Amino acid sequence: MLRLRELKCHYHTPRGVVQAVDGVSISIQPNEVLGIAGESGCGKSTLLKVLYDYLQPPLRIVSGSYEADFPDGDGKVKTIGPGEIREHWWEFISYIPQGSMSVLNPVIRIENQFFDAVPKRHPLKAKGKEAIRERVAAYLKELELPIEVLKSYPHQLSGGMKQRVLVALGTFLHPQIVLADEPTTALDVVVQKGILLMLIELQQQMENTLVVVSHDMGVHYQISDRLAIMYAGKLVEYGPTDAIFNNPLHPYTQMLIQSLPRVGDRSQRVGISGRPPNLIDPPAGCRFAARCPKAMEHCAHQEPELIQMGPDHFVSCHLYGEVAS
Amino acid sequence: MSENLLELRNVSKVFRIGGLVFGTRLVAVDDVSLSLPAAEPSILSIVGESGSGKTTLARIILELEHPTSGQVLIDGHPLFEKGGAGLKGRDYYRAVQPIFQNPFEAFSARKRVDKYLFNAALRLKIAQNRKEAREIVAEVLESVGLDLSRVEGKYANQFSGGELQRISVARSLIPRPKLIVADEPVSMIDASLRMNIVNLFLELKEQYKVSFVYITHDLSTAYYVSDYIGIMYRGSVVEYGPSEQILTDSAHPYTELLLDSVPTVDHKWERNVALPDIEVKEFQAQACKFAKRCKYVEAICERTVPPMAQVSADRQALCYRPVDYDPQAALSPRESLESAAAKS
Repeated sequence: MLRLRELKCHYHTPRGVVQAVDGVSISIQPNEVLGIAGESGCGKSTLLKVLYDYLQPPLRIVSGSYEADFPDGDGKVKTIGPGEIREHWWEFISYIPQGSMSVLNPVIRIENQFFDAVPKRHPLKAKGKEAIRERVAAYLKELELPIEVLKSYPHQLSGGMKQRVLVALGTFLHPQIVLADEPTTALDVVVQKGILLMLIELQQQMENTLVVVSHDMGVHYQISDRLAIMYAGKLVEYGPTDAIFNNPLHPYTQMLIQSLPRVGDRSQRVGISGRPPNLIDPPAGCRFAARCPKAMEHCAHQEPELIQMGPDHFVSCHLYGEVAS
Repeated sequence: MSENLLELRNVSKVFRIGGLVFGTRLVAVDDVSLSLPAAEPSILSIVGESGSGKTTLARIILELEHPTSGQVLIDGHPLFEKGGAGLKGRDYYRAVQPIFQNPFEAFSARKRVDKYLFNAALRLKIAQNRKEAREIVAEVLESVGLDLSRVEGKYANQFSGGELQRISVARSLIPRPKLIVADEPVSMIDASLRMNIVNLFLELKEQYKVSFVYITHDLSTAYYVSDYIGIMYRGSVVEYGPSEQILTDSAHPYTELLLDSVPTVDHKWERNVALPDIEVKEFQAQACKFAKRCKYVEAICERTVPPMAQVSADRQALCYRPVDYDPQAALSPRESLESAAAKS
């Protein structure tokens, strides 16, 4: 569905080049929930922006390729890349942004924000506002949201309701790919659970692809089929979610999972000491080496390759490979 | 020395929203009574969702907000009192210290971070001169795992969030307080560093014999660190007691719902379950505020405010269920607090 090959995307800022996404290769399948996990500043939101083809200076694709399979209407599949993907926003690929509190236009009623979302070439647009309103109302009913939200302004809705509206906005044209950036951060756990279950239910109904970025490993465990762990602009491990939680391979993933406190278990949990490297001038070799308890001598000079360790389970760590030299 | 390090007696805080005539009242903290024993240093977690009043409660303990009614006592000394036994000014700041949510907002970007530390030592008269202040600052920084030479002369933006939060912890330790009130101290910090800060609280509790009020929305870290937990919902403390019991055998249905909603990594959620409706106006309800979402609701819950039921010797829940929906069997919050104090 979406293929990334050795993709490097950098922010060119006056202070230097921030290597936010640095050599990421992954292919995203139809009908799956892919989770992208990592700390703040690891490049996970940037990766999502690139997937959405939302490249604005200073963000640029430096090298590598990004392709998407776009069904051409008459059963044919066309390969499209950056610059073309944005032509198919909303109907082919949609984006649920982070921070529901501030992304809806505060001075426009919700229903008008739905009208704006329908692309010009979409058949629904030609039928006029009434048709769109009917379609939206039917869709909201399906999602069990009150119809009154259409006439409301964003400030009249609670945080959870705004996030639900954003989910509805992102999915009502039944896109093949839905990208969600931290869809439930800053929401309460009870509301969070409701929205996550709603996202999953929609994905199962539409059988499309859902890519969820979150820093919360618990969220990924609950909803994703496959999980990709990012650290300092690199993909350090990816594979089926259950495999990652049952058998984490990369030391970073291991420590991340071990550090999670659990209700009912008071055993000692330790965080990871140190801090992520500066992405303007990242260290040579493995970027986790400085914080890694299992670091070997060559970790600091030689960059690890992505190695396959199980069915669809890849890791980028020297512990699992022969040293090339 | 009083029996309770911190005691809240029927504390309420009402905010007025809007004008004098057409404004509405928002009860942010609604008749909260709880106590933290002084015998052992302990960590009390106040857990609640946004808007539950947990931050307002913290601000009241920190004297940043005046309660509309009720009393707050630190070590037996009442706060907000002008004369006599009241705890005020420098004495207050020597006993109670804050840690705030966002360390980048807690420190000015234009002031060197070490100045905050030296000023805390000098102005609270912990140190008599700069030389003594240096020793104290170096010591507190060491106990949070930092070195004075690495901190000195730097500004807030030269540290990571985790480091800066450690510095605010160090700053709060300078007067050797009895109580540290930490409002969401780890919510702005990355997952990999979060546990380091939380573990630090556990270490400092032993090393400095300091108690903590830990305000959080995160049940799993609350369970990990705390000795006591108070669960807040719409301004009320709906359940209070030792954390082990509360989170493994909760008495209030809201605690149950919260626990069920935490995205754990132990077991997966049941898919396709209907969650209780959340978009209801519960603030003004003259009944149990949770009644509309509660799966154990009975007629009485929608008529009258439930009493604080004494679940066991040191546990209370604001619910009719533990007392078999019998209003007579329950005590008022004030009585239950007194009976708990009498027993211990």
